[in-house]
Amino acid sequence: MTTSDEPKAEKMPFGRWMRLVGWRHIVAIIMCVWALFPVLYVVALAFSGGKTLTAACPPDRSGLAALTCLIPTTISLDNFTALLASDQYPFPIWFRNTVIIATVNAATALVLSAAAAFAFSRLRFRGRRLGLLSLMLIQMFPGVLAITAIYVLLTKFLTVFPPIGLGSIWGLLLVYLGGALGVNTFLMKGYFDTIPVDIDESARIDGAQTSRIFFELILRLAMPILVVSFFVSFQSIFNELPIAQVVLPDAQNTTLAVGLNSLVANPLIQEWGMMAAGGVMAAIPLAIVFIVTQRSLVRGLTAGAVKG
Amino acid sequence: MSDVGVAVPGRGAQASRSDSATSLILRFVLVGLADALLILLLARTVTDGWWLASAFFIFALIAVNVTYLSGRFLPLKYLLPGILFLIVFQLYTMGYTAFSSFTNYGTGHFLSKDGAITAIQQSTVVPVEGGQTYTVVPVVKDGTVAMLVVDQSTGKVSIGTNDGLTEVADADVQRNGDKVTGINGFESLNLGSLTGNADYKAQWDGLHPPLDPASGKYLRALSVTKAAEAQPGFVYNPATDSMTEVATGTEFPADPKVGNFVSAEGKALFPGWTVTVGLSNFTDLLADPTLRAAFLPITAWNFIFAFGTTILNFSLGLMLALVLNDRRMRGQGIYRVLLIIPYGLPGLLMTLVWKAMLNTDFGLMNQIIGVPIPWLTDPILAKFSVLIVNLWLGFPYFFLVCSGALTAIPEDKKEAAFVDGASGRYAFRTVVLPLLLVATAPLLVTTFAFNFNNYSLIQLLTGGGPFAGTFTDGGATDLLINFTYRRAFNETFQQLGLASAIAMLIFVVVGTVSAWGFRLTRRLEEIGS
Repeated sequence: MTTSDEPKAEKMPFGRWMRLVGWRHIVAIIMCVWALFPVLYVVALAFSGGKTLTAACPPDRSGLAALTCLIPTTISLDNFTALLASDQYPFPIWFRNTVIIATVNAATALVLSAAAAFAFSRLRFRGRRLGLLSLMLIQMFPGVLAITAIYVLLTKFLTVFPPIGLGSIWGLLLVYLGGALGVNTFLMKGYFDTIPVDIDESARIDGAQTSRIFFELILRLAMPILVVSFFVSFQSIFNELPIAQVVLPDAQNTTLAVGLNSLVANPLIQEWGMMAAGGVMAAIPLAIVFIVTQRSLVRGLTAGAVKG
Repeated sequence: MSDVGVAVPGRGAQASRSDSATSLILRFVLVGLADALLILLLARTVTDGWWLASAFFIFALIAVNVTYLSGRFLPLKYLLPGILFLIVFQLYTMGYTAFSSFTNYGTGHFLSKDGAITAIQQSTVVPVEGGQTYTVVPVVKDGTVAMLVVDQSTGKVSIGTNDGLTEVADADVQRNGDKVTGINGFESLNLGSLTGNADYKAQWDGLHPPLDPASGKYLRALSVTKAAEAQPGFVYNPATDSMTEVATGTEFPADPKVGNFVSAEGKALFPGWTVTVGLSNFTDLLADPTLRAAFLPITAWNFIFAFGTTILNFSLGLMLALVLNDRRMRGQGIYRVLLIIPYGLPGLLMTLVWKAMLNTDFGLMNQIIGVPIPWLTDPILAKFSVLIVNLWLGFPYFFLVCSGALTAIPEDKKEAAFVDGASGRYAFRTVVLPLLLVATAPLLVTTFAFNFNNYSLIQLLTGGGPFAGTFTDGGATDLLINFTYRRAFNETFQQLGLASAIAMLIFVVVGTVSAWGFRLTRRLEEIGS
């Protein structure tokens, strides 16, 4: 149908084209500028080589001329090398910690919540509704304010199981995994519900056990929502500040969120240049996961929305 | 789907039997490993006397073995691992917070009662009136500092540590004339060598060898050569459950309502201990004038922000999805990719970037506009900026979701709606929009719930400010969670009981609104079908 429409569109007089299609382009372009504006700015700041906020844009450019600052003319790697060489801000450690925690958390959370979603979607048992409701309710608890409890718990771990105590990335990982079940179980259950039950039943008649139905049927058919779940969990670690701040307060061994925030948190010493460079580098693992998963991501998100 | 349908019948019953043999072995190995780990952890908690944790590990051990070995509780096989994590890191922390909300836990009330008694006694030291003084020499052995004590009246020489005094055999005592200068096996320190070493100095200052456990008297160094009998400024009397100030004889009976020892004149001793205070943390929110002045406007803004941001993000996402939903439009793919870029970036860092751009004096935004607009420092503008930045962070998500939902709506229903003109608009409003709302309503509810507690956005962008007074008052963009976080985790005066009470309130509010939202969703769905 698209092919039959397009030639007509080209033959349209400009006024009519503008009224039907052209304005859509204008809106889309404006919105793209708005979406990209901060991204271009942070890139320009990172490659400007300067330390301060104004580094990306000399003050003599004002008005619309300042917009040209978004396209960098000089490319300097000073901010990158300064951050990577800094002893005070060990960026590579932050990066490593965050990627480890994000990956292990996303993978484990995926397994835990997929299994739970399968039980809620495919099995019938007493307390199923109650279980679902409780899970939903627990999600509504403001986790940030349970920090005292987390702190007390991890301080206790420090004496009993030191490797997962306060100040260790494994302790932080465990805290995040505590929330694993809540976040994605619903999204997945909604998707699993849309997979026809006939498929399970015919497999069961052929002698497949429940575990095989889960691993070999449902998981394979639900790939898009698994991708969504992985991405959401992975991304959430890059964005989690308050709990990480309490569990890993030492800048020498912390996460990207805490570390990069510490670069600009002190009003007296603000390292905007390094922050921008760090932000650009921190976006890389997320961008890779995003690009690799994008196709399934869009499918999974929209399907979950429509059917969930 | 079709390949699965073919693949499964292809596997015969025999294959599945040999499969179950391997899976049985695998199951035993995995359960064995889990058991080993749990028993190890159980043993650690038992030796440490952490009984709550021991109880949990015993429960986990039983649950794992019963679930995975008996084969009777099929659903639990899929739920148990998640549930175990949930119990420790969510149910326990929730329970802890719920309990704290009924206590005065916080600065001045962190300790148990015994801890408070010890702390008061250790922090108030008074010399014993008419008490004896002793000649002392600081000595050190293997890095541990001790006090060589000479009783001038009896000539007895002993070595004092915090465990007590041990008499030293005369043969080991080193003397210079009458003066005792040291002891064999120890190195004597003088003023210079003691104060020159920070570790030695700290150890020396912490030395208080008990003289007589019954009276609570101990030795306290007055200088590097002299020590005197000292005692705690307060004596605890278990019979009357009160503290008595030694110097004045004033009684400070324990007041279990506030968790302090309080004298008849109302003077309280600090630190106190944690006690349950009933609902007073909750009633204080409305009864305490300064707290109320902050709490009510913050709550109002919190609702405006959470609803506002949900509606704004959804509307912009939907609008863009509709704008791009036209077959005649070219270059859609590029627009779509560019528009979802913000969703693929770390939102926390982009919030910091926005903060930089919105800086009044040096930000790019004002450089372009040419006027120093106080985006984040004017109370009204800051609220506006917070919503705009969150819109930037959140619209791509709804753009994605709405685009998907639009394509999923059956063609025949859409056809009428996308006719240009009045009839099209009517069809859109009555047919497409309701379908879209049904599809996206659950996400709207979760967006609301998330943003109601969007701590990081506010913390990074404005820190809750601008502030009219001090930070213990509310700021113009404070959400409840930011306000509470500062009350709970600041460096000067921590009110963890109060913070827990607000946490419980937030929990109830978000839970109620969400339950209402989900119920509405179900009603919408019924209308749609």
